[in-house]
Amino acid sequence: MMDWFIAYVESVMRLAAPLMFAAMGGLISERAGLANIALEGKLLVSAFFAAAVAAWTGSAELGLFAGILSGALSGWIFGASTVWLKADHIVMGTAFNLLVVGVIPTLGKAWFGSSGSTPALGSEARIQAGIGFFVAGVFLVFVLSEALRRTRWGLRVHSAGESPDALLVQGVNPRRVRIGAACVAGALAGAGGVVLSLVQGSGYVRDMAGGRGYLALAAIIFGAWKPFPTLIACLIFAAADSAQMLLQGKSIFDVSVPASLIQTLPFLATLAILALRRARVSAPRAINQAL
Amino acid sequence: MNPPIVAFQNVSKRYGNCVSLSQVSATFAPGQLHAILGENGAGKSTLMKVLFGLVRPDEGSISIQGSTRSWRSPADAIAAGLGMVQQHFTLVPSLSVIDNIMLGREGGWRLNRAAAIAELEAKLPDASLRMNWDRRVEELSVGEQQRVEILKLIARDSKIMVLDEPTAVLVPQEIEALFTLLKKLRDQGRSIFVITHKLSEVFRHCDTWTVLRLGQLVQQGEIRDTSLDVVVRAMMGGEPPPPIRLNPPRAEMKLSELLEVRSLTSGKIGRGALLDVSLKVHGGEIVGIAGVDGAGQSLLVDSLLGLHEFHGEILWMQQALRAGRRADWALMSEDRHRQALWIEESVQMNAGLGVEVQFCSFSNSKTRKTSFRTDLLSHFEVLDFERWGQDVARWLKEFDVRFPHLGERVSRLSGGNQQKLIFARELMGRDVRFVVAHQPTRGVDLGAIHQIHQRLVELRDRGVGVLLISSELDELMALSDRIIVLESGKVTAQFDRWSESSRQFDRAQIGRAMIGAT
Repeated sequence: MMDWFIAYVESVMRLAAPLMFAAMGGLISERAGLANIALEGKLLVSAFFAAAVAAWTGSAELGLFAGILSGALSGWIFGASTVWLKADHIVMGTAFNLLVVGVIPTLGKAWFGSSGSTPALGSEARIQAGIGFFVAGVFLVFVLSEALRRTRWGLRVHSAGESPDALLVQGVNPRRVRIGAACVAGALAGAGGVVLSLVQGSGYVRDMAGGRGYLALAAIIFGAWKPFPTLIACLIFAAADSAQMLLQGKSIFDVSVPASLIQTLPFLATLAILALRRARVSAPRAINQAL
Repeated sequence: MNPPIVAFQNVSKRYGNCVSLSQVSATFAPGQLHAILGENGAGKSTLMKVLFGLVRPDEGSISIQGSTRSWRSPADAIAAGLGMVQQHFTLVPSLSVIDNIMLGREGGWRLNRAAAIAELEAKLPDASLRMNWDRRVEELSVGEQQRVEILKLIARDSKIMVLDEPTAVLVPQEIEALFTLLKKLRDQGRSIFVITHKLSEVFRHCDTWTVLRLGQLVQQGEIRDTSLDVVVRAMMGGEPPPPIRLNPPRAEMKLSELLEVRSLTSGKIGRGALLDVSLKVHGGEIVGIAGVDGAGQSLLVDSLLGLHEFHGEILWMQQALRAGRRADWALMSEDRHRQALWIEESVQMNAGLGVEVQFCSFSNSKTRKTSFRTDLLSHFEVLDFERWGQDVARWLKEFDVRFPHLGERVSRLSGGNQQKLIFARELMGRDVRFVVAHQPTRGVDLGAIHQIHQRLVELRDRGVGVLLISSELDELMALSDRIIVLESGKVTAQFDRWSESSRQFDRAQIGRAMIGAT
């Protein structure tokens, strides 16, 4: 019984890690006023580039770097198109997610001869971190929570999301604040993607984010755009995900439940939690508002 | 004579075909309280935005203390010692007072709030300006939020302060407090510009006046060598309109009772709640509701319109009012941007919203004017936009609404024109029997105020009942047949213009009832 429980907790921690990074990235960009529906696409992009670079160089470190960089670049593209070109954030995010679905298989086909995945990575090109990324993620939540409350950067990000005019008349350009936040957000989501392909997996597999970007977004909303409540939400979703994996293929009270039904568990949990939450939901006031 | 602190040289600005400023040249002496006057659309705000770097002039230049400057953005102007309080506050509501004040001048990557508070408190001209620095701005009253805006300028050591319509949102006591503060800041050597409509406060508190009209500088002068008449004439470009005269009501009007409110109780105690309020409005009279902001006026209106739950009864012609607002009511709501207008939509759309059944292709306008209810089929009728445009163009002309073209976004119109547009829609699109006018002249210029007042009196004389809710006592005393005073949600006094007894209008008595002192 005890073994089973420890295994479960460890699995929750591992599954929570990519969610936490994606959610913290999304939280920063949303707090700065950028509605971030593109988290899913960013997870996929960074997972793919991390795996691709790791496959070419055989270096896990370079893979990690490439993943984070590609995430930051996606963030910059998203930020620049919404801030400078005044694209609607939801439309832009959806377009980005759709673009990724097409671009990755094309690149995969060109580079590795396989549209669905990158070559399987040997152990030297993977990151053997165990729950290291989970610990780093919790640390990140602490740092982010403090940074939002106690630093100049936090103050400006918050203002860019709530009242960009207040920044403007104080002589600070809210557009720069938003683009900066979009890059940081992309880099964090990129770290989440790296966890998917180099830590949990051994290479990129088609659609490997599996909706985690959207779960992360749900976690942010559940967490009312605050770091610690968002962390709790990530843990709840990871717990449901982990339970889903344990229950797959097992019969419950002698009824064998189809695996696909079990797989809906995390999403049912999301639905239930968001529906049941009655707290005053306080999205940043100027979210998805052009500057 | 000191060199001018601010001088404009031939400043011009046009938006499309619309000239906002044309060849404005003016100088302002340092260390004084300058009033910038003019009707809506006269270019006052634009001129001040040019000074603050929010608007770049097409031509002309500004000089500060004798040296010519040009700003790329407000940041340059701020660095040169300017500061501006916008009409719509630019605060971050969810941040604390001190965070709002620190924003943009945080002094390093880590926030040191204690040091910022100490620095600010050392700069305050007087200790009464201290506030609870950790309170969130959204919890503050409008007057307190304005004080935070001014504190932001003090923290930056602004030498030149510009306030755009600072008194439009304040109650009389707050206005006095604001000018007391501004005079203290002036006495410290700052130069202060106040954009306003309200001449009484200008004459009480300011040092100089400058009038703009249609984008041009009309006249400048010292307050102490000027009479009110001269300034009004400069602002309006002609003789001021005669004051409104109210004729005694005709006897038969008194009989037709339109609206009756019986022991209305609504809302939570302490938040503008209403407690056991009863009142009647007859056809052909204007009933004024006086009271300081938040005395329950908003809940009274919301209850009448069916926007808020209530206990008690609301009767319309002796029958219980069921579905809230009726089609034969005209409504001018307090918050015109949120409740009365679709602010980013066109003039045409806004002028016909809510009465669009009239523009249905097969509509029989007589029946449609008095009822919102339509048969099922009419929901599928096609709107005749050509007729819509023609009709509203006629209405808007009748109400003297100035707009460039029907497709212009209504947010680009001045406050006075927006309000006149709402008035036109509410009165022309319906057969009106009752008007709820909630702060109908807030943020509206003199000419438009006069027109709105005249319309209300005309409606009254035609037998329409008017419920006028205002925080301007002058307005209520000029227009009302009766005044009912609300204080903390209760009716504390009633006055009747036409009564023979002691309950006639008396400014001091009404004022005392408004603050609950009897």
